Amino acid sequence: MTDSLQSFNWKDSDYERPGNDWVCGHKCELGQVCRLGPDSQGCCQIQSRCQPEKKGEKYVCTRAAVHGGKCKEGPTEDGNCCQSDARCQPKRSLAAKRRLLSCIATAAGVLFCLFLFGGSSSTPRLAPGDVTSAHAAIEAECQACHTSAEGGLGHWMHAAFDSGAGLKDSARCLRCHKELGTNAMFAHGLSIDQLKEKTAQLHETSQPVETPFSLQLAAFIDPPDTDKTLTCATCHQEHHGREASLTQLTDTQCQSCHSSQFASFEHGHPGLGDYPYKRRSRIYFDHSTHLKRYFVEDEFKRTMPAGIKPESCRSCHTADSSGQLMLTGSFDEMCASCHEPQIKDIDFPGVPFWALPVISDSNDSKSVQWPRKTGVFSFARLPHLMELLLKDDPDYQQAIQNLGELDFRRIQESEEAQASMVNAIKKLFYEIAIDGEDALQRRLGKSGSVYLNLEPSIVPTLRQAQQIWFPDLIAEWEQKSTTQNQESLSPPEMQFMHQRKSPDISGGWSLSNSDYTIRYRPLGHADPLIKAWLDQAVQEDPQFLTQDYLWQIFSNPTASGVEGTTGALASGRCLMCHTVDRDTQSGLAFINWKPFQPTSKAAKLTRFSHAPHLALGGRQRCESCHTLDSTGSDITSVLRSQFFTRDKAGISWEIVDDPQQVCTSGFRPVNRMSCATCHNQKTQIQSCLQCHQYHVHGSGKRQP
Amino acid sequence: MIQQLIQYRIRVISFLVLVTLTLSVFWLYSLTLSKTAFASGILLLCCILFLAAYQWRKKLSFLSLGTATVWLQFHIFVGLMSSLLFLMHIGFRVPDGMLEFALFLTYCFVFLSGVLGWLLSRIIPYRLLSRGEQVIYERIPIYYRKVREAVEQLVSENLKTDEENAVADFYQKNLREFFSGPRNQLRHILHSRRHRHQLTQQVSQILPYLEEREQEAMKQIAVQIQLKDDLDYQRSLQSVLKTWLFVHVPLTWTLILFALFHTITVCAFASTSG
Repeated sequence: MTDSLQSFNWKDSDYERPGNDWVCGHKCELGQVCRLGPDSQGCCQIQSRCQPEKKGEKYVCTRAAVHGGKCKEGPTEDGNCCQSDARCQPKRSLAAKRRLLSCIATAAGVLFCLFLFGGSSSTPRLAPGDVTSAHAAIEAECQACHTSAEGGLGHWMHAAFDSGAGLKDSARCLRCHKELGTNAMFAHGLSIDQLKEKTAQLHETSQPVETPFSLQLAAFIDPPDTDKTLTCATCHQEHHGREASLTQLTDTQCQSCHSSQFASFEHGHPGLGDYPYKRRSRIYFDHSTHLKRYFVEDEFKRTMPAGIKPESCRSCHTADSSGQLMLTGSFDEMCASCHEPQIKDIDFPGVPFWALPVISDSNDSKSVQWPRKTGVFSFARLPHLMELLLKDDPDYQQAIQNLGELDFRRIQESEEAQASMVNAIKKLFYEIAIDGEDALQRRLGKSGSVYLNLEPSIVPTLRQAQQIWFPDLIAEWEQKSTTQNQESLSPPEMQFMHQRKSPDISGGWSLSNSDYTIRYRPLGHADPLIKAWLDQAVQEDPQFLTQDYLWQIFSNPTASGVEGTTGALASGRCLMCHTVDRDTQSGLAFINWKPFQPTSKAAKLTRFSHAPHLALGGRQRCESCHTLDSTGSDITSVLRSQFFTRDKAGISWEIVDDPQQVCTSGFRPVNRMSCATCHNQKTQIQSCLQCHQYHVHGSGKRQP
Repeated sequence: MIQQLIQYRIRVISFLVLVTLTLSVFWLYSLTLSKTAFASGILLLCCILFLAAYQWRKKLSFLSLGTATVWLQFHIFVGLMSSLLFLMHIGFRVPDGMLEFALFLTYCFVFLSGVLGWLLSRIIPYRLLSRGEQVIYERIPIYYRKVREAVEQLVSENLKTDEENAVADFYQKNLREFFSGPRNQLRHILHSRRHRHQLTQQVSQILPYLEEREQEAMKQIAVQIQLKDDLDYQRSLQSVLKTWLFVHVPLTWTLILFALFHTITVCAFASTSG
């Protein structure tokens, strides 16, 4: 058994100070105990040698007692100390070495930070990672996205404590992403009012479901606030690499702000409502009758395009270039073979644009030169075009004033009205005979009429009517106005027109001597004059629209106003197929002449692409989702209830142009559960972003 | 002993509960599309500053700030928690940016060196108790000298004529180097005793050839060999306990510097990045 090496006797044991910077060199290397140790500067405090002092002839030792006192030998004769130098080279303690290393590490860190902050390489050194490939072009320009990048460290500090910095940076995103609109900073890019409106609509149509527990807890931790602005970085976080997704969100995250929350598309997702038939279709097409009758029964086969009956939906509907939408074929391709003859309808006499009222001879005056003195005038008012042309004529105004409560069917009861009306109409005929189109321009232009420049022009027919009905009009009128000296018109087409006294079966303007009218019958589908007329008429105030005689006719089941005559609701009339909508912003009504175009940019939160659904090896057919509604009733009554309603007086039909009106396209709304057969937990293709886009003005890729 | 075990279990369970709670709160927080990176970053910075404060607590021992033992327990607890926050903060992936990667590496070194130190401080003290006398590290060179002088004394006492100096020759040939300073550090760290066994064997082999007095001296030298070897063992293991701090402490300062710089840049720029 050996003695203990360590002694804690105060005499034998030094007090160790490992925290000191320096340690005795001899102690470290040789194990020699040093009672003094080095000083704080790392110098050995042992002074074995002294500086001998000369006292008289001799040198004397001057070593202090603390260093061992005066030595026996004493200094040499030449005054040098006799002791050898016993000083050590102190060494750094472990603690000092650690401190030194800490200083070196910190200095290296500072240098590294300065290196990062300095320089102007193409890829900023401070960037926390690569941006996505979409933004790679502006990666070197930090200030393109960051307001902080416009200044130095001071600017950074300011930005760090600026609560609005996020919104300022987001505003920079919108410099390029203009498609997101003015409300891009609000949830879904909708204004607060729009969002509330949509939420209310959803609450009306959806059944309440149980909120998942996780979302209940999340709302407890951080209640959602949909009224505040959101920064882009809330969802889109950059600098995570070239291939990183900027729209990587979970379904639960998507729902965190929603007032109606559910487990998944399969379980709890609100029904699809009337999707995709939310709006009235632009073209009304009775799928039920066509699919169940016309496309099935052989008697209609001969009228089909090329005599071939459509075999499937894709005979008429083809996907657009993106595969998203199923577009409808044109009228000429799909409908003309059956419906063109109905549009031309040779039995239809045409719409009266001009009509001469019955003027009887007065009792106390000479006979009036007027072609129509007998018979019954069947219209309460003059045709709308005549009214427009005569509107500013003093004689016409006088006649209307004289008529008072009477209408044109009983004009014979007022001689003053008759006389004024005769003058007004003759004057109009005369002006048109002399000036033609200019006369029309002059009269219509006064009121800034929208009915100018309708083609084909009525002027040649009016001149022909003047020649037939008022052959002496020009001479008679020149006698009346001696100041005028006009040559009579003898248009080159006169001879030809003299012979046209019966309706022209090829369509266009026709002159009738039986009821003294000038009528227009459509030349065929998309007749330019009728189309232009209706386009103008539909924009008028609905209050005045009902007074538009042409409108009345075209929106009247009895086109000419006489029961039994077919009108707009007869197959082949414009408004039989073309619906009317009202622009929510301008308030103006317009006719949907064309089917849905893929260029239409409606603000939508839902997206759907037909292509992937039709590319499932024929397994997925249109009928899988679009099922016919067998509750369809008589087409005319359906149409009437949907598009037309009687006015208060019960005389004319008014258009129903409520865009919110449910469209009875003949299909039942798509059922959510039919989607869930494929989009479910098992297939893992039921994420929110599969069918929804966050921004109403989506800029992302279209997905199925 | 049982009480210690119960306390240990309570600590582990508390830690696991806290980890679960933290993960749950952050997951729920992420559902609301809030910036969890900011929350975890702020907490992480606070943790790092608290962990660094342990060093200051040791320096300011005159202040009544709780015992060093309690501080150490919290240091370990918060250190482990910080690793969880760190992983959540970086999104369980290696960052791409230069500063972020440097910060990532620094944290990893500091954390791993801390874990290593924690393990060493749990293992080495038991090993130190198992061999030799518990000596103050700074005094070990003095004890080396003591042992060497004792051995040299034994050798000089057994000096004879020039022809017969077996002990002195043996010392010169086999033991001088061994007694001249610290030896076999790596072997001691690896808990190897081969060198000791070899020296003992060499002593055993020479004993039959020595005179009785020399044998007695050689036996005493053998005791000194064991004493020296135990000192080497103590020195080696204590060195390990002190050396890991050479990584942990300096890098802590670098970590704090990087973290502060990262905080400034993030607060200034993070409105468009996650």
